[in-house]
Amino acid sequence: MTPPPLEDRLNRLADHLAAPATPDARQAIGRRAATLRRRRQVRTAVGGGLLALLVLGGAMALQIDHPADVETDTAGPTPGSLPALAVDLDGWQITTAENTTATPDMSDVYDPASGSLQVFRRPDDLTGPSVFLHHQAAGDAILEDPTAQSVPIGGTQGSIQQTGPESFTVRWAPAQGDSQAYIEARGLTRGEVVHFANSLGLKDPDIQYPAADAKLGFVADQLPKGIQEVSVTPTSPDRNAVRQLVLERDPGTIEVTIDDRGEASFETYLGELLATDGDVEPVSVLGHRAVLVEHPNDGRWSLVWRQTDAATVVATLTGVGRSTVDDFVSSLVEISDDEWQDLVAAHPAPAATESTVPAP
Amino acid sequence: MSITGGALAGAQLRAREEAGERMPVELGATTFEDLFRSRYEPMVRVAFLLVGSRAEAEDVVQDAFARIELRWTRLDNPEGYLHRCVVNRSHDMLRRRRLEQRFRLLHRDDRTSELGADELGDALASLAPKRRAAVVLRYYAGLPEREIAEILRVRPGTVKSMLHRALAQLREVIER
Repeated sequence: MTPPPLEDRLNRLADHLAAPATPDARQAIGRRAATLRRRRQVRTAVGGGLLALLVLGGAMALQIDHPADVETDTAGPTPGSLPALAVDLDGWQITTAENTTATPDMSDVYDPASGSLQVFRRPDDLTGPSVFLHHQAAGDAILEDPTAQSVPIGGTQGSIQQTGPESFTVRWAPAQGDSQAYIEARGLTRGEVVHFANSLGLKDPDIQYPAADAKLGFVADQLPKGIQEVSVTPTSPDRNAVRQLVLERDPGTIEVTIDDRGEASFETYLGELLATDGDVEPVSVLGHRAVLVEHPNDGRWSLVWRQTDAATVVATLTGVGRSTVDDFVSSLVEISDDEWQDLVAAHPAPAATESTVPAP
Repeated sequence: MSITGGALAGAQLRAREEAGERMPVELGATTFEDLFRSRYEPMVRVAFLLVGSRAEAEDVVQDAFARIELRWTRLDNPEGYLHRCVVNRSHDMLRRRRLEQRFRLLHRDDRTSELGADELGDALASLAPKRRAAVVLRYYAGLPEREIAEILRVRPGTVKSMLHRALAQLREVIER
């Protein structure tokens, strides 16, 4: 018997779904738009000045404790000074080399330029026990995961989900729902994660919402397994330059993305990767400490490292084995800006993209 | 002819593409409200095929419309922007929640049970996010490869090869 065409089967899967454009849906969109607008206004109003103060404050603190680090932490590269990488890998063709921009608006819930991010781990141990703690004003609701379990956090009803053998995510809404908090944890037990979340106190108990990012965050004084809070410089909303390199060799794809959004960008990627059931391994890439994650379900590898203090590199390899990952790492070279521009000219991205479909 | 009710039938799709006709057909959406009324439900269906959950599909689409509302006066191609927003937001969700796994676990409502019974739902969930988006945009939403390339920010040739590989992967299930 001839199977029905794919189009018909997709129709059968989706066309039953009744989701009419009701007034309720329209109102929900209006509320979201209002929240986005408010968030932008707050970000625009306080973001630039606040960031300057934070960086200055951070610099002063570093000057006291670590004079040698001051320059690298305060003076990030301009967008034009993003590092550039090339790959010379046997049988692989570069299909795109592109200068583009980040699209922070697409991930407001997890946007490193929005809200606060605190990171806890053992010093210099990127793959050991860790907690990535996000806090932001309530806006777009973080959806309840259908597989998450309810758990009381700070007097409110939160939820916890086990995302891997030793990975958990926790969500709750502190401050009577005016804010939302999200934890990505790895290397801790369920009890340790819940205890950690319950031990947190708001950094500013008198916080008013919507709040500037600097007022968000928590005080954590009960830290399990020797983890400590590590300093994370906030992401600059002005730094949105991205360099992207795509290579293909049937059936594999390698995508390399470099941004200069600073430590928060790196930590956001890392937290996302660690809160999975992937196998995690510390590796070295071009002399930098990196984290390699093998995703068990879809034959995908992720590799993330900081190429400079401000620049984060994320490489995603699909349809390849471990030996190709090793080959990829050993074939990476840093190239000059001129060499990168030559690469871009030789492998442009699709031309129609920007003119007809603005980047969301 | 409109695709607002859902997908084009395969034969229609092929005939129109062969005739060089650009799809989807013009919407006539001169206002944001027009766009909302004409595209909300079809986009929820597209998002449902991408994320595998009705609630999350509605979340994705409402988020996309909210962003469009904010930028309405600056958009020269609202529908293209809508598609890209929905695809990107769906990818965010897939990355964050690894719905590939949970696709099989979302058994509480009848519709996702039907997905499982059909087996195509599982097969779709096994595809990498971009490949899945390419399949859904091509064979459900009826978009031409060139437009899919714009939405996914890849070359048209890459869309072709993504579809080829995705279909090979799906064929094992579909032809059972």
